[in-house]
Amino acid sequence: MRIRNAIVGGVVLLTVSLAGDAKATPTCPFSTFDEDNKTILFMPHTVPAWNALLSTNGTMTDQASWNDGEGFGTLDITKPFTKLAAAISVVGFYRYDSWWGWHPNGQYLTEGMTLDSRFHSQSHWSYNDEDKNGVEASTYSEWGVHYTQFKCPLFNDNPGTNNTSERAVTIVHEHWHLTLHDHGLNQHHRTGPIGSCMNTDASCDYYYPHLVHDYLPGGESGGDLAYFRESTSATFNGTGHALYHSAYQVGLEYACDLGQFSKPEVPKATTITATGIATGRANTNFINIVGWRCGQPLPF
Amino acid sequence: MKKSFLSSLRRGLRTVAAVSVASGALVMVASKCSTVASPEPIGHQTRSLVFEDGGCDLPLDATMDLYAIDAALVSMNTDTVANGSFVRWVEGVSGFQTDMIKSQIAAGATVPATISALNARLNTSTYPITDLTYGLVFLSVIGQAHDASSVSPLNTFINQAAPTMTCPIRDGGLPDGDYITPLNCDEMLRVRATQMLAYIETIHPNPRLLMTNTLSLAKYHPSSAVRQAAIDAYMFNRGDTTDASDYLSSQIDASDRIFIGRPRMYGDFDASAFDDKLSAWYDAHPEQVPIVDAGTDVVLTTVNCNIDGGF
Repeated sequence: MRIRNAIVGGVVLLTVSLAGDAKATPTCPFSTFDEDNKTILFMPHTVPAWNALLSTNGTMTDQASWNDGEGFGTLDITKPFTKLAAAISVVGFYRYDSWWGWHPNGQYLTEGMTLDSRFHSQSHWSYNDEDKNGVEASTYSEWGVHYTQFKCPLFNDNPGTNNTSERAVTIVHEHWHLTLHDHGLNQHHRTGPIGSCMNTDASCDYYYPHLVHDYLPGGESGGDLAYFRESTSATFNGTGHALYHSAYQVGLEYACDLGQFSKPEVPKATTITATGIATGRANTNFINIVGWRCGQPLPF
Repeated sequence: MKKSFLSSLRRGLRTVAAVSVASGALVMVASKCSTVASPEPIGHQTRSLVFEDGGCDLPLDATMDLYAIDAALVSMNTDTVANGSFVRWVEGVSGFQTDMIKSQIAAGATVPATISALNARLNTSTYPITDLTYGLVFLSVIGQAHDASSVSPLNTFINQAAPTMTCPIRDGGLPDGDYITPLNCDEMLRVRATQMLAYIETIHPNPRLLMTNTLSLAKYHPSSAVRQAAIDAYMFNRGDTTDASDYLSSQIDASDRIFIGRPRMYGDFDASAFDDKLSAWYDAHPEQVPIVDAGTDVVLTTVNCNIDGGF
């Protein structure tokens, strides 16, 4: 009995003491340089976004996970925390809020922020050193609290995903899972291969087509990102369609908006990559064929 | 029982303390972090943005300066192509300085040795591409240089068996929750190269060879993404005419004809014309509209956050 009580007591205390531990040494090798981030860093909005992350760190971020080599509190373009701040500044300020492209930027920004909004309840951002060659980020809810983990491939030497555009798209994509979840809608991807999506894991979505200017029978604007309608009462030339977005769809439309409708100050690294990402996602992650293409096939 | 539990707890506590010290586990204490002032602007245009109070929950400063990076010119020559500095410069150039990029490329493209240096770097076994953005911009530079000698090496690049770029592969054991997975960067580069090849082929000195490689890609390439890019670029460079569409349809696999006629979303697009073309495409392919269950409308408050005070 005494030995058992000692073990139980020890386990309880051990669990509590380890709850806030930071890992000893990051195992994800961070990139040392990329032109994209160098340019982003000196855009003015990165620093205010970084400051915002610091000032609200108690609610927005799991500080411990960013505080062992990930650069929390330091302005360092090679470190994940600054790279994430740069990505937030992209979501917030690299497009106009006017309705050019698929959706006004204010909607992507509000949806992309961690704070309570009309889209979703508050979320917490953390860094995860795992999945060195795996997924870029994941989102889940636990005891009613939302978490998004940004993972190694978004920040490390892996050359395909370590760029600002992909981070910005990831923010918008992951928060769409929360948005669907908070409105009682199915937020999960489907497992392929299915239809035109050849992936063998849960990374396939339907694309729910809508017009740039969609209107409902009552005259309301139906093209707003903030509109969900799981019905077929709004017709699409007689076919009927739902005013609805899947997670990869929001990421696709945002990537194309970023690539094609950015402010003129935005560097080529961001816009060319964002357009490439939009094309890549349209080709890769949809069960049905996406009925449009991002950009013109021109060099610049 | 209570007494024995407390004594057990004390023994447990000593054990835990020893383990914690041994493992180096620490509980992080949040510290008050100071904010950092914005760096001195190195550009030459300063404007202020004012956030209108539209009820938005934006946590950032209400006013901030907007300025551009003053990019020093970099010439395109054999040295700057070889050491990568020209492509790196192009990456950092702002959108409103696009004409500067074009003029530098036009000047450099008059030197055959510079074009040769660019073409040589399409050989990824000798010059591996290690950064996706760099690769996409590099291909854009080749396209903009618009030299017929780039057609053959581009075609080789698009059709090569070895990956054009090594991308991360998943370990398996996917995490719980909803996630986003990495893109196929090898395929992204081949798609971009296809667009550039088509752009260059339109000015091939031999009219009999106009767009032959693009057409071949549209017909035979094993990647659907590359075939789609070739189909779209063929149509674009042929003016999206009915003749071009009819000819292309006769040449490509029947299952790929669905990729003809999709509208393009781009910076200067006409939204109404886009919507018309999009509607027409879905009219022709209604099976591409997913069916969803009827349900209750969910409408979120559409408060537009006007964060752009204009120029």
